[in-house]
Amino acid sequence: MKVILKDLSKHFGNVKAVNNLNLEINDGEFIALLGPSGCGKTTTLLTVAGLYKPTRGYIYFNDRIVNEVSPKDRKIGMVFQSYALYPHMTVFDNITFPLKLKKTPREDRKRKALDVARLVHIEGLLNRKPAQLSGGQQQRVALCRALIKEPEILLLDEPLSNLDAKLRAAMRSELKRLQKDLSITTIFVTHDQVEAMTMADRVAVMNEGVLQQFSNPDELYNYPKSLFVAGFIGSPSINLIDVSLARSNGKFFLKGKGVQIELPREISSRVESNSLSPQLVFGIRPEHITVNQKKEGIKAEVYVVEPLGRENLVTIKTSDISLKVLTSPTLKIGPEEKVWIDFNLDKIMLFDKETGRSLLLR
Amino acid sequence: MAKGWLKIRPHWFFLSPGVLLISFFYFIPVVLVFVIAFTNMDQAFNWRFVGLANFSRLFTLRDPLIPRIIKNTIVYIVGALPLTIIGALLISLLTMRVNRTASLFFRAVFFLPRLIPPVVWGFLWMWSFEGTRYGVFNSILGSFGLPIIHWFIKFPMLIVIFANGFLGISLAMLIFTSAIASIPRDYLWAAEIDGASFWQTSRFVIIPLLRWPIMTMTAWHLMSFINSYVYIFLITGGGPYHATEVWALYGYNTAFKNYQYGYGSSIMVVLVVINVLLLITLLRSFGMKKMIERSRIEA
Repeated sequence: MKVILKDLSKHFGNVKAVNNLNLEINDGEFIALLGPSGCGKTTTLLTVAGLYKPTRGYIYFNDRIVNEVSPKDRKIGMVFQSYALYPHMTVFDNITFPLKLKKTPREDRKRKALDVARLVHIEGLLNRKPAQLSGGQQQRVALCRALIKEPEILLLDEPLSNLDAKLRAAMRSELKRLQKDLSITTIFVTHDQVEAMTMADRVAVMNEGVLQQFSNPDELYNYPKSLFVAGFIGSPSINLIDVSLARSNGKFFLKGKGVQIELPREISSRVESNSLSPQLVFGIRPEHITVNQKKEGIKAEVYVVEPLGRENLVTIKTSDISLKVLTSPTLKIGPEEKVWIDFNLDKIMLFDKETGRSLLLR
Repeated sequence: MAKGWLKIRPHWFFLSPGVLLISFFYFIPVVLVFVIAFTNMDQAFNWRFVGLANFSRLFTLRDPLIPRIIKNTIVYIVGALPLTIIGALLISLLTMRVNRTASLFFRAVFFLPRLIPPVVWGFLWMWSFEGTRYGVFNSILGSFGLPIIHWFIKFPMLIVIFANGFLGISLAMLIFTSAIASIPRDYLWAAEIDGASFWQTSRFVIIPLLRWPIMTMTAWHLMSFINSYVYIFLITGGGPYHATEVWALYGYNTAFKNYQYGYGSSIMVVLVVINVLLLITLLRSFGMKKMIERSRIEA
């Protein structure tokens, strides 16, 4: 099932929880709605589910407008953040509740319950009550209840956020695999960028009710359209430095506190045609800064070294600016040591400070 | 000495006024009832111990009214208890469906009986069902040219059941609506997505989650109806001709209307024993001990 949100808005009084959202989700696609809390991602999901009525705009399932279709007729399965398992029912009764409401014969219910339970390996737990299950098992039960209806759209509201870190990582890959096997169009709400990036085919980043960017994880990471996306995606997060654009002798320079970077020709021409104000934000990810002791580049001082095992996260200070840099553990440096840093100019990002828009993308 | 005693047990000092009052007005009367129940005390307060004579009069049905009183009590409870619980559940569930203002209005209306003084409540019912053409319902019938109905002769028990049932509803409704309000919204949403109608959601999700409040209110009102006689006393006085006389009211009437203090006390002793047995049964069967331990809205 293809899902299209067209100019979708949901207001609560004066609060614009979702503002003019446009999304096109392909059949069988797994997308994540990502953003900080209060960004409107859950509201969007509940509107797609039909639990909220949109204030403005349309929701299409394939070619059909479903604004007025009640939740039960939308062929959706949903997993809530709290799982919403009925505490007085056994796992079997919880899973088969949607079928019971449709008056499916008990034999059919039994067979289907076993089928979905096998998918997520909980066939041994059918006679337990939810209180007798671990968080991970409860989550699987909730997933079964959503899947037993054979929905055409699966809606997941932060389903992994109540699990411990190890289980979450395991469920991440399992859920991704399951979605690909069943190829159900899936919308996944999360505030965890790692979850969104690792699981989804495409990620819609939202902030304050407005869609910031909707693209695949690679594009999101390497070509963010706005300052917000650049800052939100990536861990450790991107280095952002306030700079201004200066020109001398036909060359372009970025000038910040204690840094001056000469821009390559193709970048500078694009910046010049795109930028409205001379105030820019220069962004570079920690892995695109190289540190050397051969006195090449900008002189700086090591502030702190955090070993991550595979690499070291080094905080470096040059004049008033501090930068995060990922270095190889073979580079032996310690605090207060003098080093020189170099930027990989192919990987830099430039944003308009006022609008937050990327100046390198068209 | 006194100072030392105070130092050791100051709580006794602070508790003593309450303990004295409760002893005087509750404990001593209960003991007295138990003593008087074995006497033949009459209106002149002449008495002598008669052993089990009062009780044998009760249990061997030498009092011809007893079967009738027992039947009345059972009919009254079997009518008023389901009316209270089902009525309160229905109102609580329905007020969920209407908008906030309407819900507040209806809940306020159904809570009114609790705010009205008992005597006023009793007289309202009495006047409404007054059997002459001046009664509220009869004057309505009269304005349509219909003949009057002798309500209290035709439906005495029904009137008494409804008068008490609406009082029960007011409290149970308050408890149920607040319990429903504390059910997480996700449960109701999940049911809605799974295709449950309002009644299916109520039956399969809400009511099972209200198990504890429903049990508390059932136990509460069962005890309350067994012991209640105030409203029946005010509305019908037990009449017409014992048609609405329940056990507790019969005890009252025997003692204070017919001045058979001894026999009246024995009737009340039976009621106390029934209460104790019922309480133990409820504690056992409802697992009330577990229920009292901590607040239980299972969600």
